[in-house]
Amino acid sequence: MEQEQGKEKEPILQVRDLVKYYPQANTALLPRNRRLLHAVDGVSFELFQGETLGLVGESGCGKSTVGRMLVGIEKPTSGEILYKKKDLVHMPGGELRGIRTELQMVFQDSYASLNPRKRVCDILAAPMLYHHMAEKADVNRRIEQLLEQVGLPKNAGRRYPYEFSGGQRQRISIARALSLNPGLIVCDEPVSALDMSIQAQILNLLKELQDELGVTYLFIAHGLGAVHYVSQRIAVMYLGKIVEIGPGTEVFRNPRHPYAQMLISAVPVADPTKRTLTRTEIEGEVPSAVDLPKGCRFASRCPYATDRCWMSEPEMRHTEAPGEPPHLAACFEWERIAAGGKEDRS
Amino acid sequence: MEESYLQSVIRRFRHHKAGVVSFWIVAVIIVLALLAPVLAPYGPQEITSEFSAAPSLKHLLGTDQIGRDVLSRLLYGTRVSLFVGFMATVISTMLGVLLGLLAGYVGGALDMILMRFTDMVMSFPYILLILVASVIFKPGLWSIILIFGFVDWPGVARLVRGSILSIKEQDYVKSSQIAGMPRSYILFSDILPNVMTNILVFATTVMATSILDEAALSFLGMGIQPPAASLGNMLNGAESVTVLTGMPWLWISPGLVIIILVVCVNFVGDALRDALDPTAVV
Repeated sequence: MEQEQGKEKEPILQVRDLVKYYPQANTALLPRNRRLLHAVDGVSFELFQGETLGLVGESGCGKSTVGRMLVGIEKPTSGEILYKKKDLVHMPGGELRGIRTELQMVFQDSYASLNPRKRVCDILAAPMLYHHMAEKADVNRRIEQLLEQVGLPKNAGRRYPYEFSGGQRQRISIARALSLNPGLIVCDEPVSALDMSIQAQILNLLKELQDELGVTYLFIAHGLGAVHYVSQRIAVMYLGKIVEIGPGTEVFRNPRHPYAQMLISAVPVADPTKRTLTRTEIEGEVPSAVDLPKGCRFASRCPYATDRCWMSEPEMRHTEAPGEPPHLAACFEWERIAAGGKEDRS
Repeated sequence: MEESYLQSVIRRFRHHKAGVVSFWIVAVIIVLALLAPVLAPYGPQEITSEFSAAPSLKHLLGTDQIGRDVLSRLLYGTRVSLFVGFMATVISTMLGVLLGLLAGYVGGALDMILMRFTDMVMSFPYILLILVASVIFKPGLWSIILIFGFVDWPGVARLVRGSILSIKEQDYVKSSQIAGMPRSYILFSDILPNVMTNILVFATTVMATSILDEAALSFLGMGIQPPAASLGNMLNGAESVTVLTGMPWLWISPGLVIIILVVCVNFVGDALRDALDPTAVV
């Protein structure tokens, strides 16, 4: 069914060769001589209406930077972000205003993402009133509706953010993101700071809202557990690049890229009888994002690395069987790895 | 059950015992100073028949060398000192907030220029600057207020700039940007209210130092000019050893009022800082 969706529908968001370099401070006197930190180094993917794409990778791999560029609080060095076929990066400011609000974000730290001096109803009301999404007369009704939608009592608006628990605050953040009728919500580790039981509640809420409103999510996380639960497709990032992207279950069951394989083997399995996949330890150091290696970025930690991996950088290539939904990976040795993964499970 | 922000501020302020006591002391002093024309038994410049008299029932705090009633002068002097402290604080805070906002929010070259200018004002010897200024401008009530106003702002400006730089990176400011809110909304609705606490608390210390500075300047003879009374120039008499040892009633009372005012204003500032922070657990 997923593949039918993917083939029929136009992508709501297309990201092409997105790049973000940060000049390193203090490495040189003149700005043009400064060395660059390659935070995001040529990322491309598509998002379809109503789906969730999970974006995973370790800290510092650039996944949050991708999310921040999508919502416009970080300016790409180069590349295109097409939302409903309109290029958000090169669009003039006036035109941008209208469409920008369709991309919203939920942050990890729900405490820092709500203004401590304002009551919840004021936090929710201001953007809706400014963008004429609601008129003064019925804004309160709309706020009550939003609060109910995220599972909070109607009168929660009268209170201040600090009066709520972490999970409740995250619900308020979600309500705020929903208030502008967004097409896409970037969830930047929305549950990482919450208790396990609360995590499940928030993830279920996100799923329910998606069913109800057809909103699209980019779900960023560093652990695969939560991502697998909410995402139809998963993209794995390593050092500023996407190394594997494909249907969630397939990435989980049959990872092509050795890094993805290692991430998945690190996910704890609750049921001991189901612990089948042998654990693959990730060894070695992450190369510096300032001095990138010539070949594959993962070669220094990869148990399968060959001479070719050290010499040239693998491109993303299709790895799916004919007729299957697209599943891309950037690895020369993926066939060997995928086969190895299967053997482990039998 | 729900309390407004103001109610919770008052509740938290009450937890700070020293702050509450200080608040009432300052309030009483302000009321007494305001009511000076009603309360003072004599006029501030009125010369009575007794010279250098020790405290008595007729002159509760005694009289000075030319026969003026010390209690009356103290009431009027407190009035002047409070006015100087308050106005200087208002002017310097407004200046500091304006320059700090510009530097912190606009940033770039403007930030650089403003902050170097701030450093310059800060690094200039304080008393010397005031002395020079009070020589150029005719010493008087308003010139002193303006001098303090234009000298005290760098601290506020730095504080505001620093707070804005950190608040600008907060996720709730980012959220407003993502929600497409205009810059004016972000500045006045997201950033400024969160800096306000710091400004208010800092203003209390500015007020306390302004009162002290007025006293110091008047003591040096460059402040409020006699015959008008201020707490500082009442202390002026203590320059001579005979007054210091022989007529303690001339300097003990203004000295005490200064100490009490400064300490209490600082305590009120402390209590305010705790009370205004909605996240502080009290």
